[in-house]
Amino acid sequence: MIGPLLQLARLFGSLSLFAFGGGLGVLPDMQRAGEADHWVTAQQFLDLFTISRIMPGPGSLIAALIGEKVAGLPGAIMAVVAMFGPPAVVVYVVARAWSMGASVRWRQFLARALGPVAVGLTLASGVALLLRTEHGPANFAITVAATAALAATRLNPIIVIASGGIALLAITYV
Amino acid sequence: MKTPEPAVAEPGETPVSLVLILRTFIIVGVLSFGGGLSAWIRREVVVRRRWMDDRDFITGYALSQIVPGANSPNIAVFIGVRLRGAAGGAVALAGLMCIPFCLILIAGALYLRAGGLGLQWVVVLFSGMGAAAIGMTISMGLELGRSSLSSFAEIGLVLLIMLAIDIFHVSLIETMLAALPLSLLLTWRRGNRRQPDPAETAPDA
Repeated sequence: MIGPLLQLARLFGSLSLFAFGGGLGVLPDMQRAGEADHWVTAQQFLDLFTISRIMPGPGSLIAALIGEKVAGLPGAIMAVVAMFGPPAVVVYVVARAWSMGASVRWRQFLARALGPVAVGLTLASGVALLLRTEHGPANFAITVAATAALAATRLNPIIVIASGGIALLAITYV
Repeated sequence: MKTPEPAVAEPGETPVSLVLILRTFIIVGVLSFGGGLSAWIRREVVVRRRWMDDRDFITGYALSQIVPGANSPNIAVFIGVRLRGAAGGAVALAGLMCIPFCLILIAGALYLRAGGLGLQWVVVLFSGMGAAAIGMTISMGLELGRSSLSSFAEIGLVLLIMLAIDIFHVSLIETMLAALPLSLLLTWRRGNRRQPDPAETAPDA
């Protein structure tokens, strides 16, 4: 019981610190390690990733699913702590340095410089999702319509997102 | 962007209660079906609760993209730490993750028992919700752009970043390593050319 838990901690702990640019960059490494240790098959990994994408929360919660598959609830907890703990500590250090170390002028300067980078990365990652090959024409249309609705109206996002789901159901089955 | 009160709880102001931070991030966690987590965080923290302004949020957002780890938990920690130090960060992260963690474990257990995804219509439903949630990310990008970009050079840089990632498939980290120095240079040159804009100086200046 302890062996798999330590293995989970080591795998996700080290992956977590290499997950630059949003956390999903380490998915291929995760899949390789998971298959090498006979934790998941390729198909299972794909299914688990689908689950982690449709459920709320960040996609890297797939770590919880792999942990659960390997060692039940303790495995899931271990995997999540290892996956999200180390980056959280890094952010804590950065946020502290930001609030305490930097002068107001320096902070304003950096904030201004970070603006275009953050905006660019946000739009780029949204558009990248939109252009993904598995994003069919119906999904594409829903994304465009939802973007327009959210940008131009004060509609509650919950309504927009639920409508997206219902629209795809209707397109697929009606 | 109008901000009626100082953006961040600096020392000396009434601090936001830990319970409220916890509750806010639990709500965000529950709402994030289909994705768009960062956009939900901005909506709750900047638009509704006004715990910080867009400029501060952008800083946290950019920093969470630079450090390793998933963006949304990183932003949650950044906001929590800014509001209430280490305890705030821990509470924000725990709040954001607790419901999604429980839900995904239930979904995982069902999947493992069934031995497959099954229920195709559920997958279709969530795929449609996910498609709409991408719209949240894009419209947040547009709103952040409206509130934080103030020159054609900055807009050009945004387009350059999108071109690199979406058309030329440059990795996020490489794009960031190229764009960040460029943006620093741009900002530094602007700062040298003229005095800080009115938003940054005292109202009587």
